[in-house]
Amino acid sequence: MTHASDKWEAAFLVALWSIIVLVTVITAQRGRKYFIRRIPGLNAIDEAVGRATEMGRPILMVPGLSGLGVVGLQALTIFSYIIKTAAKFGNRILMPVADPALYTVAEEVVRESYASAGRPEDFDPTSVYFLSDRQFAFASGVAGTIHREKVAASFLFGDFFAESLIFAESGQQVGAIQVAGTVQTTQLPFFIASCDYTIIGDEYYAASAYISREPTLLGSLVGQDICKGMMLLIVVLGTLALSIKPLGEEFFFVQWFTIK
Amino acid sequence: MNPIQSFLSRAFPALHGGALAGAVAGCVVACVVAVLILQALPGKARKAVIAAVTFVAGLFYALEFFLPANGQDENILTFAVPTVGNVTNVLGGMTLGLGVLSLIRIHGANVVKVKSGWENSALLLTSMVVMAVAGIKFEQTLFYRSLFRDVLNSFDAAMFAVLAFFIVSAAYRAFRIKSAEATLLMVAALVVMLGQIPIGQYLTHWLPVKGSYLSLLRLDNISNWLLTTVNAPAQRAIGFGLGIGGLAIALRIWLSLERGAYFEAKADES
Repeated sequence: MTHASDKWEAAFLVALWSIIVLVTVITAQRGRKYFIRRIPGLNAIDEAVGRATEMGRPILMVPGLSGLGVVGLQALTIFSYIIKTAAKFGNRILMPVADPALYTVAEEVVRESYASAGRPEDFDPTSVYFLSDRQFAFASGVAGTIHREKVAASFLFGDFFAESLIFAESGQQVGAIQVAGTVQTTQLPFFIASCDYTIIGDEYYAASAYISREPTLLGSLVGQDICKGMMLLIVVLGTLALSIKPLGEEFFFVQWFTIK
Repeated sequence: MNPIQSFLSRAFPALHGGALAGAVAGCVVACVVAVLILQALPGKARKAVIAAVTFVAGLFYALEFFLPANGQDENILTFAVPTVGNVTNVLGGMTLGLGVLSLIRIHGANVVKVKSGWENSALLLTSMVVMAVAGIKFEQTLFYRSLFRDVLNSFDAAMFAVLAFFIVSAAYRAFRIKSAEATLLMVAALVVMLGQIPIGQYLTHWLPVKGSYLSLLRLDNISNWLLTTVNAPAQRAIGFGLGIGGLAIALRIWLSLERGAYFEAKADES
């Protein structure tokens, strides 16, 4: 097991960053206004839903192989916004799921999104469905759905592995507008090559704040940026320390952040 | 054995035979009752219960991480980690049943209503039953191994093989020279690919391997430099952002600060 006592310096940073995020959340909740920069991939969501409406074809949302964790829940938060937008225009949605635990939550989120949009009667229980928890069985199921339904828009948010390109290229083949985001950095090049918009890195976690403009989430985002600034400072100081000969690897600051 | 462990051992002694069966049955009944109570609760109360359970579960792992460990890399809570993990597995197992029900509901309706493509649905349901029966009753037989190895694995391999074609079409699209960035990408990819293969390495094999500025022009050295000095830091930078983003969202979920989804609407209605 990994414990804080294995590397107190790292544990201290985790605690400090947690406090920073909580403080910025509280200040945002108390009314402080924060600015959030434009994220083109998230702006494209409305465009993609509009296009699906014009074409009269369904919208596909795939949370990848995500389980019931932060990545999967974040994907559902983004999908919730997409569904609310789609529900206003009467678009049909499809959400194949690979993880049974996430499936149960996804069904509830979709139902509530329709209710929030004032269209609870439009919720189709068969629009959210469990396919398979086997990677390539799921991939073939989703690829089949894309080709059969000729989806107009495809949103790929969550954990993706080798199957990412199968989804993205299948979407390309049917001419779907595609927006993708994943925390798996190895899959980002595939999405960038095949999708119209790709959410990169921590933009994935910024999505819910960007979409909802909820103070709690905006505050959290600002906290993340402060933490990233600190991380950048650590990297610069570490690089300088390693580059200056009298300091080197034995310098206490470098030793703090060296994993042994 | 630490005090918590010994207390739990006394409170929940090991059971065998009929007592164990009774305890399991009792737990199942208690779970059903808990779910029914949760369903009957008004939205706000249910949200409070869910938030409390989420907090306690998260607190366990946070404490287990932050409490100092002894020489065996264990602290007062480490012994309970496998048990708490088993609880998660049990919950996951229950949801797998719901997933199977979803499949049966959708494909069963296709077969009953003879919708377009109902044959595929019938085949899927038949395959599911055959595989389940084979796995439960005939696990050690050639029949099951053949289903698994010769059928299921072959299908997986076939789907994986499709990737090769998709990679070509995606690479073609990515490397089309449409802009300065695409040109840079294409050149970098070409150098990295050439630097990895024997024929590419042969092109500059006459240059010194190291010890001279000319060695910097070797394709394998340029390729290695691109991978370790350009690509790796960029990936790490993305990783830092993701790590901190993950920490922030984990905090929001743990403390139930995340709004906009997960039963929020039901809670607000009541």
